[in-house]
Amino acid sequence: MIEIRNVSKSYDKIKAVDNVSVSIRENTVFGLIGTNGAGKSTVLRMVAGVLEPEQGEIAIDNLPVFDNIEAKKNIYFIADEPYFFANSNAVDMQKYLCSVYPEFAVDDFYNYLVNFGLDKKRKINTYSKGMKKQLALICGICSGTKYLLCDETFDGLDPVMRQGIKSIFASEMERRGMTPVIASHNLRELEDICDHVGLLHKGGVLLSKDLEDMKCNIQKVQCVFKTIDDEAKVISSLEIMKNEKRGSLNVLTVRGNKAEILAVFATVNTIFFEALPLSLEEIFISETEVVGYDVKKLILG
Amino acid sequence: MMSKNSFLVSMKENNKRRLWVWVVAILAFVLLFPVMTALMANNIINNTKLLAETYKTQILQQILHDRLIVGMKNLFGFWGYTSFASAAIAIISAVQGYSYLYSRKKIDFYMGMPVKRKKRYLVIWLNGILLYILPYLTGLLASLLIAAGNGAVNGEVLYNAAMAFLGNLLFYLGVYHMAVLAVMLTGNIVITGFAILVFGLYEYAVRFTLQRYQSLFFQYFTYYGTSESPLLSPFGLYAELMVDFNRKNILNGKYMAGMLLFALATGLVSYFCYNKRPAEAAGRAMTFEITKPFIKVFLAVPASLMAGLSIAGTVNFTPGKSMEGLGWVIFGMAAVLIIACAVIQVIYEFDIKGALHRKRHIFISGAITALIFLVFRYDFLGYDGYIPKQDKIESVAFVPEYYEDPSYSTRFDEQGNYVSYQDYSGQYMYLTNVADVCELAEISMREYEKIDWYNDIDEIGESDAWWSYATVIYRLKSGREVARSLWVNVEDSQTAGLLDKIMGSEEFKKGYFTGVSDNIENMLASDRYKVSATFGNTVYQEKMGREQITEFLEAYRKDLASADFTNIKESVPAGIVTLFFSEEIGGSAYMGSTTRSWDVGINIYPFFKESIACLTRNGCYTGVQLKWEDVEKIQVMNGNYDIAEELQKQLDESEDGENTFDDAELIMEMGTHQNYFNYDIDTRVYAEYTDQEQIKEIVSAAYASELVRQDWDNGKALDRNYSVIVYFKTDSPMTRNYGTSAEYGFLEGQIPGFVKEDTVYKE
Repeated sequence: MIEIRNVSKSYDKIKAVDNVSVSIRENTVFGLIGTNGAGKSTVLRMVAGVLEPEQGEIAIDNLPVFDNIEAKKNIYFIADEPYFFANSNAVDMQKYLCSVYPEFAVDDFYNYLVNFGLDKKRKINTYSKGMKKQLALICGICSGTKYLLCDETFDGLDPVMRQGIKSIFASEMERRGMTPVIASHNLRELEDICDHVGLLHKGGVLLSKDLEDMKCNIQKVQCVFKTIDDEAKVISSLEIMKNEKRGSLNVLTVRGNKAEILAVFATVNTIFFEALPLSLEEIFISETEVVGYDVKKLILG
Repeated sequence: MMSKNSFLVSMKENNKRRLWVWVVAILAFVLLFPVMTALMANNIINNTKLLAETYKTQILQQILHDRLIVGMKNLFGFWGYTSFASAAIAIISAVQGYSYLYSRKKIDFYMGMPVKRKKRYLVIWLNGILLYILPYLTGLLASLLIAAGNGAVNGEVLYNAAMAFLGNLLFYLGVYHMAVLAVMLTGNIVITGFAILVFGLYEYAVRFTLQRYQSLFFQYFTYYGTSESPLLSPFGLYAELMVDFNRKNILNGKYMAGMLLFALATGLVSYFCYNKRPAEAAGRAMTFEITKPFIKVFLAVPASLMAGLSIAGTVNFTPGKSMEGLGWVIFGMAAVLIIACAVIQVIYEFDIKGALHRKRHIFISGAITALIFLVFRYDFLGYDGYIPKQDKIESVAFVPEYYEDPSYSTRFDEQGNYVSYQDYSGQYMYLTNVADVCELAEISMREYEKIDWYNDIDEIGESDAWWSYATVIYRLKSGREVARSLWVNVEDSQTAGLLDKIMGSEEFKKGYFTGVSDNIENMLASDRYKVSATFGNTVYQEKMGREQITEFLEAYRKDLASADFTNIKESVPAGIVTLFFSEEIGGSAYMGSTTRSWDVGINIYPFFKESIACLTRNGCYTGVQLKWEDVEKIQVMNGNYDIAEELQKQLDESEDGENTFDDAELIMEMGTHQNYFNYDIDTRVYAEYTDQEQIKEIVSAAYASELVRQDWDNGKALDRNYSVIVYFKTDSPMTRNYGTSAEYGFLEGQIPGFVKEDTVYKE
């Protein structure tokens, strides 16, 4: 488990991370979300042991991480702009990483290169931005570390590649309990991959929850009430977070568990009723509204 | 604990990233050693072949061997190109090795890896040293094999190569650690470059500035014992080590220890900074915020002081005479201070708009600069006029400037190294007559300070005082050495009495006159030196052999014992003995060998009875200045300058209604160079003599100007009005040797009456 306790970090008197506490459980995909400058990269760099926190502590499986190779052996950090040696190719990178990570899966590495269509002999500086990100991910996955820290790594990957990476994540999680931690400013990027999400804003954590928990607590329903009284009864009985009305069609976002909400709807007459799946964005909107933020402004600009 | 295997693997991986530095180092040492060895051997062989007609084969072989050995000793020893290559590779290696610290991308990559910071530092550090040592030793070994193939390797060559390697390695370590420290303190390569320059030059600049300020403000300042060579820099220490080795052929422990200490200290500090360096410093100007104000102040203050010096020179600010120009100096210093602070702040922030941020730094720098300026201006430290208490002085050296130095002799130490006259006396003169020197210093300083150089210039010009420059070196019982310059009025009777005692002492003569030094004795006794000597009076010259020289020097010592300030001042030399020593000492890449030579001039006064007797006995003494038999005719020119000056004055006053010689400095200049002054009225009168009797009389009164130099002691002088051109007979030895004529002069007050009459100016 990665434990971040009361961590703060400043750059030139500007607080980048302010008293952040987050726990990242093993074998989950943790999404770290926030706008530019929210402190996502700083948190990840501290977790990777690149930066030393000014306050607080970060432990990887109960080991402090900064300049501790035992802790770092469990981490592979893919920065937002991954670095590759000058004039090197994938083989050079593999050789270096093998010298650093004893568990580096060489065969997997070359298999992934073939599957992703990356030429192992081609100089990396001739790769496209997306190809470099793919190579960085392959390096990270094959390093054999328990935790894979990805800073905006999925940005720039096409949907097919993203799907491929997700599949690899899933299989690695199942095979050896890999725990990816993915930082992104884009909610939609993480929507179908994360199990747990932490939202950072202005250096602090607004929330950190399991997606399933959040989903269980918010429901989205579209329906057409038979009478105005029916509509009024439902609205008064439920905690309606949002009610969009298009003609006679009501689209309601309601706080509460599904069973309770269905029970309320059962007491009124509806012409049409359907429970809709919630997007991550909608979940966030509702969750952050509770703490007084307009997440649209925070995340979507 | 890191395993040996993983460390080696890390080194190997690190070296893969440094291939180009390896290539540069290998190329440098391949060019410097094997290629240069082959070239030099070839050049020496070809140059020596040119001597085939002059020497027999056996001797030629010996010359070739000697030249090759000398050449190889120089090539494998301390050599400028090797030093340059060492410094360049050290800087490249340090900057390239730790350059990942400049880039956030690289830092994220490397510091995210499960590698200890300490291990990463050590791997880069060690590789940085190996990439110097391995190419150096490989190149050297290859060169030695090439040299051995040419029969140019012996113990001396191997010794030189080994000593130079040790010295160069320490130099490399010093520069390498200094550059690593520069990387650790800065966040990008450009600022690292500045930092390396500052580390290398800062002490030099500070020493230079402070010495020039001492010279500007303190009238008794002397450069003796001062050095601009930085001792807190590997460059300064290495330069001293190199010079010392080339002199003594042994590595100086003091400089080696200094270089080692420097390397250790900078190595430890750079490692400390590495450990403290935050990853987020990448790309910034300075790594540590705390260093910023100190660096700014430490750079701005010397810059401002140097600007003050420069402006003082431009506006002729001479605080010893007046404070005129002080305003400009202060203005310039303030301007440069503000500009320096602004430029540094712009560099810190990478933003021109930040130029005037942190104004308090400007005020602090200004306050420190002002304080330093005031320390010099008002001599808060009591430098000027300081004379140590007599009971604290062990010995002194009183060193007149260019006294009794007839042919600008070279001065040298036991190893034959050239030294200045001050350094020579500092090394060999130990006067125990401390009281007289202190008294002389007190009297001279007291009298000198009474002079108002700016306002009393008329009185100075008319007075009989003759101020001569000397350096006094006080060696204190505490082991400290204090040196001050001194202006001595040699025309003052009390001063003359003290000078007789000081300069008449054996200790003074031993420490001032090279002719009586043990070094000469040793050189005469050694086969290493070619020795020759002449006695002459600029026209007539006789050669002396080695035995005659030894005999002469014995006689000279006896005569010199009776010499003092006054009797030398009142005499004119009858001639000069010049001793010549030479030694073949070294080689170059082109010629294979060079010669070092020394010459020592000794004035022979008429009262040097023993010396003259010795020279006469050996047939070297000419006896007279000029033989009338050799003279065809004589032309005398009387400039009548005193009359010219008076007439010029009258002319100027009548034309302008004022004296054009008001300017004090112009009058001072005239005082010493009146003969060269142009007057509107030509008062020169010429006379020509062919009559034998007249020639005899003129010849007996004429002296060569080289023999009558009115220098430090204001002794006998030639009359400035008269110029005597002697034309030799066409068949005389003088014509064959020296051309048709030579210029002479008359001593003041010793002009033949008929010449005076013939050349007087008539309006």
